[in-house]
Amino acid sequence: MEQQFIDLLNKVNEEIFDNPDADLVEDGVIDSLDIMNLVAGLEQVFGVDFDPDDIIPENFASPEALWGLVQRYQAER
Amino acid sequence: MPVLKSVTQWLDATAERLPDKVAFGEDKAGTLTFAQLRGASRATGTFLAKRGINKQPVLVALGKTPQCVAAMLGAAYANCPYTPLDVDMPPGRIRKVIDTLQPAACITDAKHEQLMLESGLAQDSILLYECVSNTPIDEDALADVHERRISTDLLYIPFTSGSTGAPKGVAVSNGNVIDYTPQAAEKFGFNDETVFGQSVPFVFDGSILYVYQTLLNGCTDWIISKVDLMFAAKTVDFLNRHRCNTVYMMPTLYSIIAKSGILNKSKPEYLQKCLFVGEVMPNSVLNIWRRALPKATFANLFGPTEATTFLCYVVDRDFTDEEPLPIGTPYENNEVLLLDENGTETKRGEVGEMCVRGAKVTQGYYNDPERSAAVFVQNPLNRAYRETIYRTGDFAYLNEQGEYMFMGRKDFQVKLAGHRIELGEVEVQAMAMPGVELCACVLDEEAQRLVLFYVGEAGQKELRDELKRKLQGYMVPAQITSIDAMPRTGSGKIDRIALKEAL
Repeated sequence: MEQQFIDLLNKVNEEIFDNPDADLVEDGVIDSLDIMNLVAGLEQVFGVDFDPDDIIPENFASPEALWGLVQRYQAER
Repeated sequence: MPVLKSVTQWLDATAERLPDKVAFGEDKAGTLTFAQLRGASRATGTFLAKRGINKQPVLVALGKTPQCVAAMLGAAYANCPYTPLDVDMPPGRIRKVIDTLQPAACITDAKHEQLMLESGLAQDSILLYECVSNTPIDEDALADVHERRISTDLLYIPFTSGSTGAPKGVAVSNGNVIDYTPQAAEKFGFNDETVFGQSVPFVFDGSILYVYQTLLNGCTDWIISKVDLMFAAKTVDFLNRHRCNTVYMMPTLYSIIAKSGILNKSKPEYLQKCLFVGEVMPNSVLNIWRRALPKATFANLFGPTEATTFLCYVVDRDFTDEEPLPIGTPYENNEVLLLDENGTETKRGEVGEMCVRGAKVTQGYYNDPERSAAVFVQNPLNRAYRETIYRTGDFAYLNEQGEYMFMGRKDFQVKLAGHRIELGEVEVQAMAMPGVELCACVLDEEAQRLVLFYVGEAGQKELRDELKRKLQGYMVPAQITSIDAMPRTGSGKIDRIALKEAL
């Protein structure tokens, strides 16, 4: 994961990296505002466009899952 | 005609008319028809009544489910005010609610039993919904309760943020809800074809619209899960799957859905009525929705818990993105006064504090005469007899069309994603920690987050952990920053404007 990505996640929610085993969505680590801020931040920093159908629990369950999505968008460009 | 003194009478009537219609449903928790709901509630009520619990508060700590509604109405059948509890609340805050409320019982489930014990409740006051909702119904015991009750008896006591650190319980009577519900039904045309998609949890007083409109009119209320609400695509999918035609959501949720772009791909096809409450609705968001659903009715509802939502504005004209949206006009049987600090009415068009008089004014704060007396006061315009008005702390003025326009608050209460937060409550909890000498909590409106600045030796992480133990999740500041010194204004007060500018 790129440092820019890690920094952005930490800025949105300081606890995202606290527990590597946590499911960020199911365990309530992130909330709906965090998701909105993550999408906005990632779109800005990585120049990608989120498809609303990709804004689903599976893609936000962990930093790895989210990074996977960003990489997919970058590859598609 | 029997006297209407309890909201349970609405359920009695609707269960007779539409016994097998789904009243409340949730994807995982299942459904309850009106007959089933009435049965489970009356069973629960029987249990409480036979234990001698009458007109004493009952906590309800169940998830956002139909069973929670049955538990709440069970308390109502026993003429006990219920307090819905957010199961995500930390034990420290639950303890504060319990201290104020002194509940006679708590209806919960096995999953949360331990939490309730940790919060200081006695084991024998903790009731499991699974058990009490199967109590054989004692018609005589319930009839006796009904015979003795009166409409001013309390229906429920929702807790709201308190600036001095302790949350406040608003005492809402059956009479308050009996006044409000039919007026809103008429205003918005709720009937037995209304299908709600409920976003707000039961701890939020706005949920009384979902619950009591459903009971009064025979609507169906589909409860959206917390996870579905976090994702616009899932929320829209839910509304379509259940063919919801009416929603009543916080502007933050409308905003999340609008900004996700989902409305360009898939719309809630069945939605006819979009109501909102709890915070300012940006017109930029409203306009996205209006363009996506040109035939739907949009309405802004306004009102603190203490006055049971007393204004509403049905959007009847176009607004540019930058224009403010009116908060509306009072329902019938309600009056709003705009008063200045001397208790005099301001001139038409001038800003004043909104004060409410009428049957929607609630009965004060439970077990808190001091804070009640501060805002539930004698109408200063009335010298002839005792009349209580509620001072909202919200400023407004009347525009040319005779609509109220919101002008901000007079204190440190803010709204974050629709949640009412007293900045003082956050500050008091932070100050209670050793190593925090001074602190100030501000709302970063643009980023929609709370920021806490503090002076002291306490570690940031320790402070965060401490606040998480004492405050609800949404009240824990997203950013906690230690600073060397607190900026001061000329008069020596903490300069909050300077702090906000530093963000």
